[in-house]
Amino acid sequence: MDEMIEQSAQGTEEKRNDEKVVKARHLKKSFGEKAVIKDVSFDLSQKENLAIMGKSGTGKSVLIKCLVGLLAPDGGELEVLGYDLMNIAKEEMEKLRWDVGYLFQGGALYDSMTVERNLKFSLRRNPEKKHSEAEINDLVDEVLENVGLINTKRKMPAELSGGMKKRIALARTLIMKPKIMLYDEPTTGLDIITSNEISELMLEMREKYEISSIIITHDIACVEKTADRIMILDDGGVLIDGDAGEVSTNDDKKIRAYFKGE
Amino acid sequence: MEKETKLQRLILNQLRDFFEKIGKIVNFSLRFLRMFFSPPFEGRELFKQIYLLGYKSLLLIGITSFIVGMVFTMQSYPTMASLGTESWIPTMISISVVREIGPLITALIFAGKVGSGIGAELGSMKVTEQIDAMTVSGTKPMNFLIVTRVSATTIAVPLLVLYADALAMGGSFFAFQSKEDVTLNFFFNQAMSAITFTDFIPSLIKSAFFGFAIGMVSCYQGFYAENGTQGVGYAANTSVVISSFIIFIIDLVVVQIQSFYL
Repeated sequence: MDEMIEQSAQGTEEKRNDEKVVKARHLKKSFGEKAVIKDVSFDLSQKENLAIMGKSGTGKSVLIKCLVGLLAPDGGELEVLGYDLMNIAKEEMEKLRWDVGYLFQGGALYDSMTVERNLKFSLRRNPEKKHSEAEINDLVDEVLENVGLINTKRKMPAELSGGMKKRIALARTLIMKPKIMLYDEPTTGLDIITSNEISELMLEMREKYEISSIIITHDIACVEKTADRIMILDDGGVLIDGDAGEVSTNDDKKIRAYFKGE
Repeated sequence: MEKETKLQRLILNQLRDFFEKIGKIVNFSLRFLRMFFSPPFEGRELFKQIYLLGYKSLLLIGITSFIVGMVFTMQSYPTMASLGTESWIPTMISISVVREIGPLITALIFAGKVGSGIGAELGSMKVTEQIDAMTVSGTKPMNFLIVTRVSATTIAVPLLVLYADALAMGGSFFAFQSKEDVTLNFFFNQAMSAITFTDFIPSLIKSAFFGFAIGMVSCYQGFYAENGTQGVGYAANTSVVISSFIIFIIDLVVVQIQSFYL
């Protein structure tokens, strides 16, 4: 009996992990005459890290901007956390955004606010989850400890290094306890040690908060460390989408070029 | 003939672009009005903006108004004296200052100082993705950035106009006293005898429209800035140019309405 309960629990766990938090089918997006995304389909499972690679201008950032409604796809189907983004009301989009974290390439910290105010800004304005000031302060301390920057609360963004800005930006999204994280080139412009620290942090946060992530990056070390799956975009479509180990060891010359630069 | 056609086309294109921009600003204003009545209400940020935009302009507007009052008096004195009407100077200056010079000078200086500041600040936030970061975190940048700033400029300009009027009259008194042996009491009795309530009200209403236009134009230019740092400069510059132009248009319209009713 106990065995059966255990098996059933395992089945539920597998089913939960197999739930798709993002479903994209035949997505299209053009800017004027230029078709950036011609036909892209992919899924993202719960607690999965998907790395999206591709040359500059292949629509990687455009793709994740579509996932949070910063850009509207021209065609196809797109479902995020059960919301149909092709037919979503403004209020629903606002609700969805509370559950999706977005780490911008430059951090995009509010430079007129201290680190503490940056972290509290969205939290105070969430109509879904009301927090007392004491709870907000505790959450700020918690995420700052998680990213290892508890002493920066009173600092302005201009006083922080590039790596610190990325960590604070990550803390700012994590404080909202998102279900999905979208990382736009999280390690670009950072030295190897800091890049490695950011990658480690992304993995830790995935485990701690059970987050599904889409990571846009050119950084092979970051991909190797963080990705469960890799998707490569090429010429507006998907060149390959598969298990990280299989994709990174693929013999195809075109795919190998992304990893070895050959 | 060919050149004339090209010139005509150039002028037509410039005019079309200009009116297209005015149309977009009007559309943006309607969006502002919708957001003005929808929560969250950012009261704290509104007071901060009134302090930053209004209070911090006191020195510049005060000095400029004082000088304008002095210069206006010094320029008028010889002509008025040659006609034997120098005793009318306080009356003439007070009517000109309250009805026209006070609001106009204040609005133009405010557009130069504050309009360019708002355009550059929001433009910089736009190109560094801070506005996108607010949007994707589920907060409403329109409420936090636009509603507060436009409300602040709309409230601040009429208050600054009253202050500027008083200082311009002060400047005028000093200039007049250097020519004629008059007391402060006599000067202000003369000046105020010609001004009625109906002079102040249209002037203050007009000033509120000036403030609204400056805030709206500058916020629009910053909020939709593009093309990196070049776009920030462009946003700051066009904020001042378009605001100044609209100030004169509003002035003309208000004077027409005023002359029709009063």
